[in-house]
Amino acid sequence: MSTETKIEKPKKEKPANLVIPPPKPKLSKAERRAIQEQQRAAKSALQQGNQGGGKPPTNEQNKSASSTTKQPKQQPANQPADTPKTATTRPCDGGLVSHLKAHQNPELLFETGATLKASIGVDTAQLHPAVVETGYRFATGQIRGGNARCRAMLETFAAILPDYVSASNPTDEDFRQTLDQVILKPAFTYWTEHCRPHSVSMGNAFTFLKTAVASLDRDLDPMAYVDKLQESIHAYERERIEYAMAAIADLTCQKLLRDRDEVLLVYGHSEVITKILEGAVSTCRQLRVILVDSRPLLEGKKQLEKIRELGIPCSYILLNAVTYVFQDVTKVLLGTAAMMSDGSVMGRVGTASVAMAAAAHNIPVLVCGETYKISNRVQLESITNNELGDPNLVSTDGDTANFKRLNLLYDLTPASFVSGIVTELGIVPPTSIAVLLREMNPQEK
Amino acid sequence: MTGLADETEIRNYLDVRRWLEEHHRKHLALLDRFLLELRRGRLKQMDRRIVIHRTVDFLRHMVGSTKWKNPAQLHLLLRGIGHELQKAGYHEPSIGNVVRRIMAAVREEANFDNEHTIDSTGGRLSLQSMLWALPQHVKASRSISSVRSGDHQRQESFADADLVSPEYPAFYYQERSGLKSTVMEAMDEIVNELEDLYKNINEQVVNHIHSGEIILTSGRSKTVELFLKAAAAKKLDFQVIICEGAPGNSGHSMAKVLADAGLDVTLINDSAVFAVMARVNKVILPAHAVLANGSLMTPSGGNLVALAAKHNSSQQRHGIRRSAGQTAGRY
Repeated sequence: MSTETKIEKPKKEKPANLVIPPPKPKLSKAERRAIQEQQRAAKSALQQGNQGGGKPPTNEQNKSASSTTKQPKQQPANQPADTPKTATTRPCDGGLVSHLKAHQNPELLFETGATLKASIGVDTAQLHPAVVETGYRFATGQIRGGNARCRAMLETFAAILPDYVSASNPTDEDFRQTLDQVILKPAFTYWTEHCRPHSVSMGNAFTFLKTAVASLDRDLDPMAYVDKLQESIHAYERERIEYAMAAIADLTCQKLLRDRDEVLLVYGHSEVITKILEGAVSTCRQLRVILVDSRPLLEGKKQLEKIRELGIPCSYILLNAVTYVFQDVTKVLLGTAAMMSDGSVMGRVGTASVAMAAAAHNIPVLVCGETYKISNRVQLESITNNELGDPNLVSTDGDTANFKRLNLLYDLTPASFVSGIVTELGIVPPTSIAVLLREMNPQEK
Repeated sequence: MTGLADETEIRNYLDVRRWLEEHHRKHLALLDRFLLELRRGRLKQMDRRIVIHRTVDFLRHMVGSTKWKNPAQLHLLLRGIGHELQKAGYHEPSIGNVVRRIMAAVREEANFDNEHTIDSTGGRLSLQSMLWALPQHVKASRSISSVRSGDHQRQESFADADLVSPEYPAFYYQERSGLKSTVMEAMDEIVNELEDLYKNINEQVVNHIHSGEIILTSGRSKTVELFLKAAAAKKLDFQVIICEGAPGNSGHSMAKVLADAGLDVTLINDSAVFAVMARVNKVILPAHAVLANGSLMTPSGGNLVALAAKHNSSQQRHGIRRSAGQTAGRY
């Protein structure tokens, strides 16, 4: 139970020579916040003093932080209780999701600039404005979706790199350290902890970036570093995202949809699904799409626009009606946010319900995901690792002592519901994801 | 003469409308108004007892003030009305059940005085005769023994192509003085059962809900609401997770009502039901109707909840309302 039962303890008798300190003065909110900031500033000053130029410990920490999506326990400074009460909504049902970070209202966050500096040890004044802007877009939900967020991150990095060349001192410092400590890490930390927890796609891309930085030759011109890094970023984006999407679309259309009469069921919004449908228009003999959407995000509306542009006959239903349409459906195509190494698929909340209903009707479920979204994590169920969204989207009634709103953003589809996973390396059964992981990262153990 | 070619009598169940038009205009108007309400979905109340009350009142009026002469006529009248009601109100199975129950009462009363002429093997009280809307005997023979024997045609609806002109045993055509009062009593019984409806269900709450559990439900239902409130009243300490039930969002008002009653409530979207199911101990679903094969009609989305519960191997409990004439399903 979340609420603690209050037990009346019998009052102890006070010993005679006990010195009772005077009662603490009741501070106003502003005063308490000021005290908190002072304490945090002191703490971060201490931390920065300790970590001088130590790359390996921070690298490892970032690697582990990015290869697993999010571990709030590793950053105790960011428990909801430390950030000002005005910036966070009331934490949800303590029993279910107390291990997840409470949703933060983005508007309030960006007003309290001073607190940002204190809480994460980074001054937004020291972050590149493009980073802050991207972070704002993440937090408010203007950029949503695994591919979109990752792309935004990579493009932001590619854009800001040149701005650091003239500012730094090329001869004394190792520019690689500058890249790491001043550009990449603070931005990523800022986005993850203050704007929105990073997705698996972002995490994997960031890991790649750090590897790329570490593998740059020593003693190069800073401008040369920047060029090489930009090249790596663009190559990653091109190969792992754009090319992968095109390959997946091609595979699906040629192997699964060619010359067939299809009624495809899709859920929510996914870039790769859009690409598949673009190809399917010409490869299918007859094509019809049933689009399933769900509250609170109603991302299907975005997808609907794109389907209408393609001119495909389309029905739009809400999630609860999905069992009514299954008699016509031939295949279910789903996008994904992440694929776990045991074959389970992390996607937008509601994906699991669609997959489950389809499996119950013996309709094949195809999950389409680029390989860079594969995570080596194993997750047993949806709640252990998830993200909380704005509870006001669920209901505008406020939280009270015994009424809470829960807005989960992701859910986990078990491998048993998935017939096949389409990646740019081929169509594989869910259990082969682990193999793909090993193939892609031979140096990882 | 067994009352067939007579204009003042109902020939068969499809003839009811003509008969009403000729002899009871006002009742026909009443029937049409009721059908219109059904078709327009006016009776899709959350509290389905209102529907039953309306149906019973309507039938009371129909049975009470029309000039039927004998049990056969009354039976045909009811069957005809039931047929029309079912066509218009197919989304409300309980209406058909009410009518069937009255018809069973009619048959029971008609058979009652003749028990000395039938073998007393309880043919009139057997499950077969209670469930089926029509007498089971075959067309040709009028013999008494054919009441229980012969081809038993299963009647799932009031419509039957073959037996448009059913022929009842001879004693159905005798006038019966106590029939009307018996039928009225049967209707009162239906209404009275509704009174105790929730009490009977809520008595069992301690068997099913225990402290420290997390219960999941979907949308708004009076039965489930009272069930959970009864559990809270027994000082059981549990949490309730409510799926909102898009697009009607009836879960929102359910959450409010339960929270006001002091329960620990969490509101989630329907899409999140699979995600939270791993933490749920029990699922309670409201029943719109229980069908003969054990299937459950629930508000939209119940299927997904049930599938998720099965996958996570939570136990499912169906909140059952004793719709008139329908035995309560499994708990």
